[in-house]
Amino acid sequence: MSHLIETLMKLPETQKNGFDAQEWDKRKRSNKRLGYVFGVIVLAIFLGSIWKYRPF
Amino acid sequence: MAHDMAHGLPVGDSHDGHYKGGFLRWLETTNHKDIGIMYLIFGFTMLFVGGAMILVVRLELFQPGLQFVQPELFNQLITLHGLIMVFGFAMPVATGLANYMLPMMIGAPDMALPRLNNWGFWILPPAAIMLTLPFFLGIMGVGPGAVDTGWTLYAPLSIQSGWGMDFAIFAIHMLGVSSILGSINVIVTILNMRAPGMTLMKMPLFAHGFLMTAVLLITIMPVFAGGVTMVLMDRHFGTHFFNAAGGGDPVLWQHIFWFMGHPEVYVLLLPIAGALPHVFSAFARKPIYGYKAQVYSFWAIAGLGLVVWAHHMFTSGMSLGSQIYFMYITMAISFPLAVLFFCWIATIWQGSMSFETPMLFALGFLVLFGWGGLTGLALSDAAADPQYHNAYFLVAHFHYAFYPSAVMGAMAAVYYWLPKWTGHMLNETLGKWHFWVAVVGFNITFIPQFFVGLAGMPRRIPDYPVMFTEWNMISSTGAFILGASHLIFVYNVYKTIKGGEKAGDKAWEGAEGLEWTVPSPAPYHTFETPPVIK
Repeated sequence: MSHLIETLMKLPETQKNGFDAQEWDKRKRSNKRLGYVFGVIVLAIFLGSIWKYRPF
Repeated sequence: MAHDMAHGLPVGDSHDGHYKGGFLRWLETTNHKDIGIMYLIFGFTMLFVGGAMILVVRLELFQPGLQFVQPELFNQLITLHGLIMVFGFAMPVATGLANYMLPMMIGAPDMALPRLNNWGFWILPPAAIMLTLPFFLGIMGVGPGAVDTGWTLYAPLSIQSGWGMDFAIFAIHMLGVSSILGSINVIVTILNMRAPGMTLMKMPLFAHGFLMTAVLLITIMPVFAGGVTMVLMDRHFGTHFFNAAGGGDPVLWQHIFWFMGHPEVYVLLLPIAGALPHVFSAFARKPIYGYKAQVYSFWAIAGLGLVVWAHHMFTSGMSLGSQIYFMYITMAISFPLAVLFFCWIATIWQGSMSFETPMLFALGFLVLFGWGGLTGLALSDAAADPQYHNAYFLVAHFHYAFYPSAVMGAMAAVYYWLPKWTGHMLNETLGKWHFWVAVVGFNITFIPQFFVGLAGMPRRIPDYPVMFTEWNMISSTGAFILGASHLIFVYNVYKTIKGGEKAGDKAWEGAEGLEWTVPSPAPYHTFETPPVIK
């Protein structure tokens, strides 16, 4: 893999030219969605673990 | 600010290198490098706090009898040492490495959820204060002192303990929230922020290692949080989750704890297992061997790690069938671990090796963790376990697992990436002194503990029979040598930050990966336009 990166990976010219807002905006929305999904999973595990051993 | 918002950047951050000065910069920062640095500083500070506590313990154990601390304080010291080293040092340092390096290694401008990242870090200092405050108050004569149950917090002891336990419960909740937020961030970053063309199977191994760590954490930490919530309810709200008299079951706590506690070993190991192949490859000047095999081994270790917890409970009276299951499934973990070891050895095999400080620490990990793994196999034997259980043999074993991964592995990674962070090469002479003093100190500390453990010395006792004196004196001497070795590390890092030889973009001759294509130190925002990987 390291060879692959060395031979094929090139830093694009635009690296110094600014921020690709469109690209990262698109991903930002998706990031939030994914974050919420994992948040819900965590909450479900937490509540499920207490519910499973509830004393009533 | 308007400029930042127009570019879709978090408020308070800036991609043109201008940011607020002073404390506000650190309080409000959403930059992954700033947050990574804070995690690392916090983690290593806690290493010294937890280390100082255990040096008091080793001082007490230098001779039989009670010399320096009373048993109550002794119990608090060992408990805080365990909790601080796992939750205060090892996990934050790994998260710091991930924060700093992951975006650079996968070609992202930052972590996926920068505000969450800031929040995840700033929960940590109050949690650390909550955990340790009762201890310092206790020393000053206020209150019963800190949690004193051992880091396993076994019920019913944890139900009966003083209010230091309540502080510990809230601290654990906060630490858990912090690590869950960090883990969600890592998973989302890896799944959604990779540079175009970087498929999952082209991703650096460090990212794979940390992905598995994050998956483990979001699986185990909510369960642990549920467990300590039950303890809190038993203590204050009249429930009986763990009270046999009320229909509860104290062994249930052991299951809940070890469902978190055992995968925690892999939580600490996997980020390091992901980082070390990069170090081996760089200093052997050879490509990483068995990339796919290592990725699949990470998955196997994480998967198996979740279903072996009860090997910590062989003496709790479980059925024979359960003992056999947990014994064999535990032994099965040695297969993917062996695959990793073979791949790492194959990576350096016949390489053009040089032994700079990061490589020394990586090799040190390989040897010492090997001992930890092999002694773990002995412990996994259900028939032999009663001899080892809660004896010093166990203490020596898990320090041979924890120290090489959490400390030596972290040191290897820090020394490896330090030139990229600071723009300066480290002082090699000091680095080598650090390594050798640490290795000698570590072995002098823990080899004797195998002997006294096999001879029957139990753990968590402030006094012991005279027959164990010599080995304990040697062990305590080693502990102080080990502690001193880390002062060399601090001085070396300080010297590196202050100055030293300038590091090039590619600080190490054999280093490869995206992070080595950017200047040293790396710009505030590394990849504002994603690099394309074909």
